[in-house]
Amino acid sequence: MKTAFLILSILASQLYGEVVREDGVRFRDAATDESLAKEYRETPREDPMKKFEAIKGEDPSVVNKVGNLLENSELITFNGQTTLVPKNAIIKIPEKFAGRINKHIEGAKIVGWLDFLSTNRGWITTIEVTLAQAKGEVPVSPDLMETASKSGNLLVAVLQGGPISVIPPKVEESPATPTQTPQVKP
Amino acid sequence: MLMITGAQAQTYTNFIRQVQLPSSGVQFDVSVPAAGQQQSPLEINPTGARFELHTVRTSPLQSFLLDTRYVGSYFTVAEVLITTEDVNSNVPRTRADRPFTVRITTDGLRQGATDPEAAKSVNFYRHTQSYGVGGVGDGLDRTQATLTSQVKINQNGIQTLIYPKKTIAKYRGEERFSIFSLADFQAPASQLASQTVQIWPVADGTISGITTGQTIEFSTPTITLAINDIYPDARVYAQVYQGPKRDDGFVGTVVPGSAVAVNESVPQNRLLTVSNWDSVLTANGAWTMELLTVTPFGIDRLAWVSFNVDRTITFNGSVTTSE
Repeated sequence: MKTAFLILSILASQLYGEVVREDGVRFRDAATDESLAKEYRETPREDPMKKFEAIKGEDPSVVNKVGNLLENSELITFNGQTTLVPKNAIIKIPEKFAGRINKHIEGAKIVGWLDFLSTNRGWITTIEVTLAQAKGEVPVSPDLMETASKSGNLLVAVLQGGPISVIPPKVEESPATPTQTPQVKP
Repeated sequence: MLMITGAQAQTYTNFIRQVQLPSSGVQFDVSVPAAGQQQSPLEINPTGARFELHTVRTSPLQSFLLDTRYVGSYFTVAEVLITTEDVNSNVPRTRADRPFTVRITTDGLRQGATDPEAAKSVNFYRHTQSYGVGGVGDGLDRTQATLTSQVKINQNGIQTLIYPKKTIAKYRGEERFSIFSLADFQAPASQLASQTVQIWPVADGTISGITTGQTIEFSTPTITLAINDIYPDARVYAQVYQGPKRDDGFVGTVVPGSAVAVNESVPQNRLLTVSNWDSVLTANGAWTMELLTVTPFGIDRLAWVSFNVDRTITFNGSVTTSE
């Protein structure tokens, strides 16, 4: 850090039309397009990255763009609070709770999942899934889903307590694939 | 480790998302308190995962991506550190006419002939993006940034790059320097480190209400100071001193009512009207007024005007006596 700052200071002292006062303060006329262009003509510069091997290819920051959190989330709002869970983490939305999903009320306080769940256990049920089930490699047990659905609560998939998106299993998957048994937590 | 600061925790709510790679659509909410750490229960190998730290503002509802980290099979560590002369800002920032440095550090790159290509090098990218005339970067779509340079780095160690000043005084925008892993059969190219520097325009200003060569005989005229693009952390004031213009940074007398301090996150404009500044003109003769701005880069003279003061009282008439 000190070295970099020293380099900058040396560069700064070599700037056109700049003087360093006795108190160490640098003084100059404010730069203009004309003065900067003149300086560039007299001392052209190279791209500092030219010392490395140039490459070609697509821009990874665009191709692998990190998504917007709100676009990748479902919002659950109730009683002045809103929390966010990953898209596809809500497995079932009973009709009576539809008005609480993706209907954020301006001013509702954003809280983390654990804080929200602790005060809304009465109408939210979590279903513990495995990573394989989340990926859709193994289906969630239909029996368990049916049992959970009977509660009439909102169903949210979690893995060790954290909401996780669940991808539906591929259609061509063999029906003989053994199912793992998730646990239902009211 | 993704860092969360206390200031953010007071007004924003943080969320950490673990995204399994290659993208399968599976996202996991790593629920953590406002500050702290927790081990992710999800596996990382063999395909790797991206951890995203977001913060969500309650009103108006908006999310911001604060940081990302890719964790995968190859243990490559990379860091990007941008240094400018403005050491007072948490966000790296500088001015169009000032240089800055970019220090990149890589560690863990392998050299073996049999090592996979993705373990032997990383790619380094420079993106530039203008904010446009008068823009400050709000709502900027960063996927529209221009990829200015892309190079390969295959050596461990520290590299320091010095970026010179711009050739456009009114440039306003940002430059992003990022290091990405190489794509391989396991995972796509993923960001290992990134930092962005904001570049703000050089201020300009005018002094009106008094002209070069003008003579002030009685009271001082009302003057107007117009300053554009005052740097986010700067002061502006007018000073006067006796004699013609000097270029040695001479310290004169501050004109009363001309000083303004700015402590904002984006450039500002100001229009000041100054009157009754007679008290600083203490003698007849040539004087110079300068409009100055003090920034982390030093003092810049934005405008100046030299004028004369002549307050000698002359009687036109005759004296007679009578007896």
